[in-house]
Amino acid sequence: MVNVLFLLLISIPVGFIGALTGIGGASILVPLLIILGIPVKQAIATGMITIIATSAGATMFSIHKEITNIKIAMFLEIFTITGAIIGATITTIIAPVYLYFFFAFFLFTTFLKFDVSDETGNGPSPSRDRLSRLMDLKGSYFDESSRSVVDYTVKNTLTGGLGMFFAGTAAGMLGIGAGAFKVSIQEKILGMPTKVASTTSNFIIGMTALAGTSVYLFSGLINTTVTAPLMVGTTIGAVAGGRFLNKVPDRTLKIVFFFIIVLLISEMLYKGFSSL
Amino acid sequence: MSRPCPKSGPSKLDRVIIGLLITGVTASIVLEAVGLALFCHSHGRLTVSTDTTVFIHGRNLGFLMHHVADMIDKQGIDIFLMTLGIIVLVSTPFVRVIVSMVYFAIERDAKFFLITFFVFAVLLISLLIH
Repeated sequence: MVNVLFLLLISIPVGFIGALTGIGGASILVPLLIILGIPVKQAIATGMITIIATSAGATMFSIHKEITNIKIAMFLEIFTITGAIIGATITTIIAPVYLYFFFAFFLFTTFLKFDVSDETGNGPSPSRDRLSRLMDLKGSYFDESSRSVVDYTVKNTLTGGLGMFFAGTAAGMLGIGAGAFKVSIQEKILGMPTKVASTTSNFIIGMTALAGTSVYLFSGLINTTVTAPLMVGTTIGAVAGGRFLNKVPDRTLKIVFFFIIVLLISEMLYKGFSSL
Repeated sequence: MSRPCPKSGPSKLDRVIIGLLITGVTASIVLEAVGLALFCHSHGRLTVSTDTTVFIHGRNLGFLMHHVADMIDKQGIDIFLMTLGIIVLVSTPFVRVIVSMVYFAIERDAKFFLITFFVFAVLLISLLIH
C-alpha cells in the first residue's frame, strides 16, 4: 500500500523539474506511479489531473513576464483539445499492455527537448502563411538576457496545427503534457522563439489536460487519495520551478533529466514485455 | 529580430488570467490538503485507499456537481473535500475559456471570440456527455 506522504514528497521534485524544463512533470510521474503499483489506466488519469495544477502553477509567472503568447496558445488549443479527447477515449477502451509501449515510445520524444536551438525570434517572416496573417499570429517579448524586445511571427500554421493535434492525442492517451513534442513543433515548424514556445506550451498543456480529464473524470479511474497528495506536491514544485525558470544551470538539469527518462523508458518496456 | 525597448506590463486579459489561475489552484490545493489531512486523521493511517468509495463516480460533470453534497453523507467530508478540490481545479481552465470569450466579445475581436467559443463548446460537450 502506497504512503500518501511518500507520494507528496516525490511529487514536489517532479513538479519542479517539469516546470523548469517545460516538459511537464507527468511524463515522470505516470511511470513512477506504475512502478509503485498503481494500475496503468489509473496512473494515466491521475497524471492528467495533476497536469492542470502544474500547468497553472508554472504559467502564472511566465504570463506575468509577458513571455507566454495567450492568443497563439488559444489558437493552438483548438487542435490539442480535439486530439486529447480522442486520445483519452482510446485509452479507456484499449488493453493496458499497449499503453506501456506507447508510453515508452513517446518518452523518446522528450529527447527532442535536448536539441532545441537558442534562437531569439524570427522577425516579420516573408514565409508567413495566409492563416497566420489572417489570425494575426505574432508577438513580442522582453528578453532579459539580451535586454531587448524580441519580435516573432508564426509560419507553417496548418502543419503546426496538425502536429499539435497529434501532440494532444498523445497527451490525452498517456496522461502527460507532451510538452517536449509541443515545444519542438512550436519552435521548428511554427518558428516561435524557445522561451515563448516553452511557456506557451505550459499554458496549452493545462487546457489539453482539461480536455483529457473530461473523459477520465467519469471513467471510475480517479482515486482521490492518490490524486490529492500528488496535486499538492506537484503544484508546490511547479510554482517553485516557475519562479526559478532560467536560474538553474540548464546543463545540470538536462543531464539529470536524461538519466531519469532513460530509466523510465527501460521500466515501461520491461512492464510491457512482462505483461505480454 | 530584436529591438531595445522597456517592458509595458501585462495586459488586462493577462492580469485576469493570472488572478484566475492563482485563485483556482490555491483553492483546489487547500481543499485537497485539508481533505487529505482529514482522511489520514479519520482512518488513522497514511496509506492510500483502494476502496471504491474513494474513486470519483458519476455520469458527467453536471451529475457530479448536483450530487456532490450527497457525498458528505455517503463517503465522508474528507472524500467530499478532495473531490471538490478536483472539481475546482478542473473548472479553473474552463472558467479561463469563458473569461477569454467574454474579453474578446467586449474587445469586438470576432476571430478570437470564435476560437475561444469553439474550445468552450468542445469542452462543454465532453464534460456533459461522458
